[in-house]
Amino acid sequence: MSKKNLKIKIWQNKQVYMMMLPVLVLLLIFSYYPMYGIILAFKDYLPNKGIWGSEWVGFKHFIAVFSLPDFFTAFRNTIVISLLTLIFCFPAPIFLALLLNEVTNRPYKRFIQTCIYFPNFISWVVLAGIINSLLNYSTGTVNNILANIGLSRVEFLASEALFYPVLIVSCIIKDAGWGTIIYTAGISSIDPTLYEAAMIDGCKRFGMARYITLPSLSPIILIMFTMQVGNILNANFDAIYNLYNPTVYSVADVIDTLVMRTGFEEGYYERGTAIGLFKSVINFILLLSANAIVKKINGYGMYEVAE
Amino acid sequence: MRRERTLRLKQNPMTVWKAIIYVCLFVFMACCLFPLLYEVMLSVSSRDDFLASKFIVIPKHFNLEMYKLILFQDLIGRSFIISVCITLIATVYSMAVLSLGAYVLLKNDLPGRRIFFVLLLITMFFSGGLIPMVLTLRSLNLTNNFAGLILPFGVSAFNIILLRNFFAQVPKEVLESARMDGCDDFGCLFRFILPLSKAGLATIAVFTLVGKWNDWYWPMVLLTDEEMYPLAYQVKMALNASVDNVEAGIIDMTKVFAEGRNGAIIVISLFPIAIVYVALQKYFVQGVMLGAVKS
Repeated sequence: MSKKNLKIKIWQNKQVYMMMLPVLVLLLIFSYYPMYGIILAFKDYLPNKGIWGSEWVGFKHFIAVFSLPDFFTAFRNTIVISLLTLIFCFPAPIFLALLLNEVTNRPYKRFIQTCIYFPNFISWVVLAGIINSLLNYSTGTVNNILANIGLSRVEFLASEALFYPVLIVSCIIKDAGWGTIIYTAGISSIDPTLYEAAMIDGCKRFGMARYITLPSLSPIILIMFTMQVGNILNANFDAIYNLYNPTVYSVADVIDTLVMRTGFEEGYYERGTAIGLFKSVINFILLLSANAIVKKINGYGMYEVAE
Repeated sequence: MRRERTLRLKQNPMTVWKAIIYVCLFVFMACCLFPLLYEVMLSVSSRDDFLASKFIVIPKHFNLEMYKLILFQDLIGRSFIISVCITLIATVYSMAVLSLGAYVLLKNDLPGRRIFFVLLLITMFFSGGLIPMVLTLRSLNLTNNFAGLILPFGVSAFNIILLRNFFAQVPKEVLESARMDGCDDFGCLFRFILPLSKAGLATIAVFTLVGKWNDWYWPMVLLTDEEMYPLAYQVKMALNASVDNVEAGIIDMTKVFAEGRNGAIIVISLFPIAIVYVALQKYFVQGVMLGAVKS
């Protein structure tokens, strides 16, 4: 395109650029300006000198952070929780969607869907409140039942061994139902002639799910998987921050909660920024590698899906 | 689709496997609903009911004292109103910004579109993190006021891309004929694309609405005055607070107990979400499905 044509094109689209302007300004101020603030991780912050005026100190804060025992614990917990999430929470909606697909009674299906979508809309604050009251040691229903059938009461939320099960089960209840939507949509776009062909070949229901539904869903599953991998170091901040307490820090403290406590509540801004940067960089690398692999398998990656 | 369904009906009488599947789904559904019912029952029970309960509390002495307590004597009532206002304003503001962004992405041959798109995409996976964000907002005087809870959170790359996909479903011919009649870009967006993308707009509006209503994180980080807390964060603070020192006033304190008060707080904060969910479910479920199939 020649320079003159380009100018004409830009002039023709002047209104579109006017629309782009507010979005761009908001992005620059509230997304990109904070990214510039990341250099705080390499400085000793003095509020009266501002971020730029403060003195450079190189990797001092990173070294300080990496030698904190809390950091190592938080890093390990983050990985463990994310892996548990990948193993248990990630397949749950796929499994549920396959089950829902077997339901032929439409009103029953719709009823189930309406009910299991809802928990997704509850905030973790409220859900944690509910979990606390259900699992309360002396008054919670779960403990009441345990006590009445002759078992002993259990401190669910103050027990290191039980924190992960409680967390994973609550995550599944909150998110698995809503998560089925994308797979249900995928199932509904499968060509019905595939099922007919399978039936002629003597396939039963289970075989159809195994040899047609699941393989047809695999591109969606892979894309969702990529996103999960890109989130490994995020664990599930909302859930953990609302459910944990000091007695279970040893298993529940994750990178984000550590940033919140050290960086924000205790006021070590530089350390908090350093941990945050470390996390973002690793997440980004993981995302790009997972995306590259998925692109090999699927033929398209996240960028193409977004486009 | 239809053919497939009739085919299945013929081929699938009720079998043992199918019964098991129905029961499994029912159990999962019960796990989702029971906790909510439990909180409702707690919130309308009296303290005696609660103390007498063996397995689960049964509200024999129905009363609304806990609701009176939290709505008139706690900060919950005040926070509720603050949350309604913030949520509505933030949703309208956000939808306006998102619509503009999505329209820009619709123009595939716009010079500079690619840069804009990449700038958006990066924010989906990389951010400055908590502390740089807080310092930014502090330097802009956006802490300890409501503008700080709304203004910075208008753009969401994910929602812009989703909305663009909905906009792209408006037939090209409609826009072309509008152009012929001398309609400019603003006209196309406001007179044709927005009215024709109601399902998509409803979908994203519901997400924004619910996200804002449930947001406790940014109020926690940005506000220090408890009289300004929106509901979600006020709830976080109020849950598990003691009821021992509450002044009686119009409330019958013999019926009040901490667990029940928590139940009432939970029910109050879920109520608007439940209404939006039931009223709009049809539209946004459809919207999400469409969005998912498209991409």
